[in-house]
Amino acid sequence: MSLPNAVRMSLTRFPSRTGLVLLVMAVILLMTLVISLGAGGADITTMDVLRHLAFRIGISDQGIGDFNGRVLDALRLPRIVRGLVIGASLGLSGAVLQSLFRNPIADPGIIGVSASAALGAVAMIVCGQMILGSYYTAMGPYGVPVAAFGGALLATAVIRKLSRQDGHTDAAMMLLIGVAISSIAWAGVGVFTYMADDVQLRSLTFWQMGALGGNGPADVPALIIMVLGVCYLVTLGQAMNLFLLGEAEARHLGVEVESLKQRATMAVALVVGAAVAVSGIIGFVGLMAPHLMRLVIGPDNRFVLPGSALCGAWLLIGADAIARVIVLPAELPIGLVTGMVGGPFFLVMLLQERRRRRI
Amino acid sequence: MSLVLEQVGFSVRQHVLLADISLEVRPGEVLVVLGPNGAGKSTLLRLMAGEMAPTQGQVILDQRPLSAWRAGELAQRRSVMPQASMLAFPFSVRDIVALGRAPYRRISPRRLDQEMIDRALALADLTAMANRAYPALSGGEKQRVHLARALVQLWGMDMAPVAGKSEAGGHRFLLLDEPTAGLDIAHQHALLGVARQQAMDYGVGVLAILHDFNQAALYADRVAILKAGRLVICAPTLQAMVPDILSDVFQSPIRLIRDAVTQQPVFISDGHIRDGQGGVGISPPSSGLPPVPVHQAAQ
Repeated sequence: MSLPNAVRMSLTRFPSRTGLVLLVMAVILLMTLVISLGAGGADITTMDVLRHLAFRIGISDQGIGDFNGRVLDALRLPRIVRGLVIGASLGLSGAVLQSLFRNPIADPGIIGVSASAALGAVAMIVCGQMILGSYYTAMGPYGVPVAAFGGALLATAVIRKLSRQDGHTDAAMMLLIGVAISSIAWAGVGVFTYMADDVQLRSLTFWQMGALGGNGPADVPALIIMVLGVCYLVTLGQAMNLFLLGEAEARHLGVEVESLKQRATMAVALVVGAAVAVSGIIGFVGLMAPHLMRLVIGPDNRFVLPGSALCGAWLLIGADAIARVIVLPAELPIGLVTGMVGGPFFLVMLLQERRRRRI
Repeated sequence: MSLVLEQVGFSVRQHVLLADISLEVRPGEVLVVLGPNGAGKSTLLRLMAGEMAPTQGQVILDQRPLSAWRAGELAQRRSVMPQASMLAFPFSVRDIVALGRAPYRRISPRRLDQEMIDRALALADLTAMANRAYPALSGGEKQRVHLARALVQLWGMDMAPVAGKSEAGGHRFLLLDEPTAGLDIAHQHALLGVARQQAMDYGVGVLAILHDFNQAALYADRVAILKAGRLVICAPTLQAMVPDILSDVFQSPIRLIRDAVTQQPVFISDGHIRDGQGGVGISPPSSGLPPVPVHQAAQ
């Protein structure tokens, strides 16, 4: 039990208090952000970070030392921005998928979208030269992210196509098909990994373990797509609440179910495909963020969705700080950190959840 | 301004679930649908709710086929009480009932919402458990939560708890899919009474799928009887519920008697008809029940 029942109930009953919780979370996120900016190989004090940020925004006209300033500008700030956007995208995608499928264990990873995106990327790294020939070099740095993106879209399209029957989408079927697609995609990744040479193997591990180090000039458009997707998905709170009652019930209550489902899954595919294109597969954020939020503010999606975005960003930035510090001077792939922290944590949450539902 | 089925048929992969059904739910009446399992009652309700489009004919509300209505518009005109559903997330009872206000979230002031939610909770006898988690409720309690949710949706903007008859915005319809399943007898009558009252006081057209003949006789204005996807009869209650028709449709000999005290019609079922030997009833074995002791019977 993380919170006594009475407290959780009173929180859900007074949305203003829930708003306060979201505000507190945003503040915690900002604090983590500043601390995370200071952590890493080059030790920069929190004061210096703040002074540098103030300088960059234009509040203060006095910057900090040249070296530390450049570390912040060129390395850590972009990285934090990537972490923020990707974390928010993954957390929110997880929350939306869980409502769409009416299943608390849905996650972009579980329905195979992430794995398919990785398959697209890996296929492009290993076979791009072979298939595209001279076009491969013409696509330059965009080839691999676009392939990741294509993989995510293809997976979503296939899941939707196969799970539709008589004009309706069966959520349980969708989940199962997602699981099948996920394992097919992983098998494909395995095959390409086997075929790859030494140089290719190095970049393959990036896609499988995840990293926030950035992936080249395609990052910026991908990040913009994610921001737009997040802005759209976060507005779906009330509709997702109705969806939890069931698809028929949502329709009775005025939701255009089929078109909403279509738009929401497309948005999730775009966002997740873009996230994988920038950072590779980072698991568990989409699963953990919404669960954590529900434990704190109850199941109302109007608050769970923005909360999951905040919480996902916070989790990813925290995990990134750990990844940079824990094996100094080297750096751990962030997917390993989220996996190691997230797996057991998720197990504990599941057990708690089970106990609570039995009451 | 009725909710009308015009020669509606519905089939799935050559399987005819409903054929050639013409029926209307009129404002201010309770129309009860009776029929054995698999007769197509729920399909009928889902077609009327606009959940699926009929494969033949059409469902019409205000001279417009349902397919031409937007989901949001339709939600302000009819509400549906489904059979209790699963919910994996721990919403409170009050949260679920509040979802019924979703079609009005842009226009309904918060105070009106709260007022209606409180009233619906009271009508469904849920006030005491308003803050309980929905997944922890019993089946019957869940059913009542959905009644309350359907009510706050039905009331819209102008059926404030104190308001009288309302004509503004067209008539509204309440569709109940086996609403009494899982309820104890007191709550069954309370629920049907609430539905009846919505029809009488607010001109709501109510369609209810029921299994209990006596409840149908007690609460219905008209009764429609379905058998194997076809409409057998749709008429004022006792004209439709003729023992011969019921016996034939339900394959069970059914008699109609009058209660000695209230003169209420009471339907009695005597068993099961074997292999369509029309009318030959098999009485339940008389030794099945212990004989009533004489001194008790005398009291």
